[in-house]
Amino acid sequence: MNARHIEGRARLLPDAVNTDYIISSRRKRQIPEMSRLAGYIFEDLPQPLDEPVSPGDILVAGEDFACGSAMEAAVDVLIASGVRAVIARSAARTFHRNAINGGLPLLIAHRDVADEGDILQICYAADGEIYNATRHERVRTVPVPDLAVRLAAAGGLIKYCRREGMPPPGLLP
Amino acid sequence: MAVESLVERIMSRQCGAQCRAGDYVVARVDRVYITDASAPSVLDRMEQLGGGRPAHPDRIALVMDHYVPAPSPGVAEVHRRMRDFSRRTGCHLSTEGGGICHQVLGEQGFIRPGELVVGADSHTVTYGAYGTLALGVGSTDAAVAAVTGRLWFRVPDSARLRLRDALQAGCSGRDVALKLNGSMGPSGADYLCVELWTGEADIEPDHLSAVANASAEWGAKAAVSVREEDAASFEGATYAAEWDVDLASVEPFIALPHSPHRTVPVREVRGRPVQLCFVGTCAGGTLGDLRGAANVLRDAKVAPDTRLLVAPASRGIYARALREGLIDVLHAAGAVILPAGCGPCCGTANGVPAAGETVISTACRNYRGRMGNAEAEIYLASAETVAAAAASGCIEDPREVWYG
Ligand code: SF4
Repeated sequence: MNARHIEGRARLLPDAVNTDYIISSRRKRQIPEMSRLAGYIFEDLPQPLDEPVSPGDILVAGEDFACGSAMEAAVDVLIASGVRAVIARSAARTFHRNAINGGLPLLIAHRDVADEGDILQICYAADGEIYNATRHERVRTVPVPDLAVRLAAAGGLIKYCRREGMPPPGLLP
Repeated sequence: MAVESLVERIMSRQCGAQCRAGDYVVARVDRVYITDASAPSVLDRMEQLGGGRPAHPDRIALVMDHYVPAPSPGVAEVHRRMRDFSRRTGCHLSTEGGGICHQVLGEQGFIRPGELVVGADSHTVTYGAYGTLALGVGSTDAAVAAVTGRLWFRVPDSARLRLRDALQAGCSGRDVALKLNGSMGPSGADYLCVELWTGEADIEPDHLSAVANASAEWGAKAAVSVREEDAASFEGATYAAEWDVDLASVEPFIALPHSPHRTVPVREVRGRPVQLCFVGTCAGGTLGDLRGAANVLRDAKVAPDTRLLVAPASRGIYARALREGLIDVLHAAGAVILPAGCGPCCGTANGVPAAGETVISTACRNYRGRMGNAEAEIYLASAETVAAAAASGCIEDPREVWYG
């Protein structure tokens, strides 16, 4: 129920990409519009990306993705860049919450699910699954909380609350 | 039945039903705070949720701390929006110069022990030193909690961090924090509520606050100090992890560029020249930190080719530092005293380093670009170690020179 199917191109990231590397606080202060801010994502990464992130990409990160700040801009700016989903070996709890609330699918799985540029098909559901169409390989992810799947289907917590009101108790497993 | 942990006890009270680790719950939130860095996105979301006046404006605080005084017309506009919102709704407002949210709201009586608080900033956990279950959240969480007074949570497992004995002269809570940063890494306490047990330790609240602050760097959901009178009631509780720190064995520590987790004893990097020194932030701008810095700089001068910036964490700390003569000492040594607030911590206010410069700072993070220049190298240490570097122009173990 509520499963969401997502297809995109794998973009590999290193371990410990902190929120300052996703978007710097200085840029965030200077540029309030997410669409413009999106032009500066990952600019301070010690090893710059070969090619900028583009709409339709699926980020495939290592350990401790988005550690550091709790700023929701880290999620907003990825959504504004057209990132369809994030796969990480592990992710900071603050980012995880923000991703769930913002409706950005985040799946916990090993980084070797994909090489740079592989085409991935994700089934975002309680028993999440990643199909690597380039390699013809299927991988199960760590189970996705039901709450996350439903909020993603609703377009995030704000939209959910506007429609259904808070709390979403039926939502809580 | 298993003994309830501290976080389960608080969450159960806030939910009006028994909660256990792993449960997803909706809990009543006592206090919500946002900063000038999060205000635009939180206030937008509050409007999307129906706008108007929140149900309990006295439980919501807005704090100007990251960008003070306003460095640009855009920020001045954000500050105006915060003033207008507070005037219109009756929400608590702490204006520029009041200090960092994680310090000033405690002094203003807005944050209290035992409560469940969410703050739209990762270092909200700092208030755990005072027994508050204080969680760092994003803008959506803060907006939902502010408008509805409630929020969803997953009740975390608990861990115990037991502190024993007392710190040596010249060492501080920041050294404990940095040492733990190294052993914990970014996920050593992932998703745990770290209970801080200090019954067998002699540690000042300012030093404990530095430890609670650092728990954000270990992936912890919260770090909460256990009151001595409550300790017995947690007898027999189970912990997902337990750590012991003998405070007497902690020596000055330093984080190497570009990660707060790359920490080594200061003695290993003595002699490295520094150009910019900074004492301040929610990790190192307490009265205890200013005392530590002033102790080192009494009768000393900031070395040539080195500069020292000092930002007290709050107006209350600033006032006490003035009364104790600490500001005089630091000023006479050549420090530039900045308004209470985050200062140059995250590169959004004055005090940006030049390309190629080496910085030593009491802040909690040193990721590349953190202070507004990706070409600078930032080391993190205690106020004592930063002051020692300011006086000698290079990284120095404060015990060797000042407390030996
Ligand atoms: S002092 Fe630094 S870490 Fe603390 S709240 Fe301010 S910007 Fe964040």
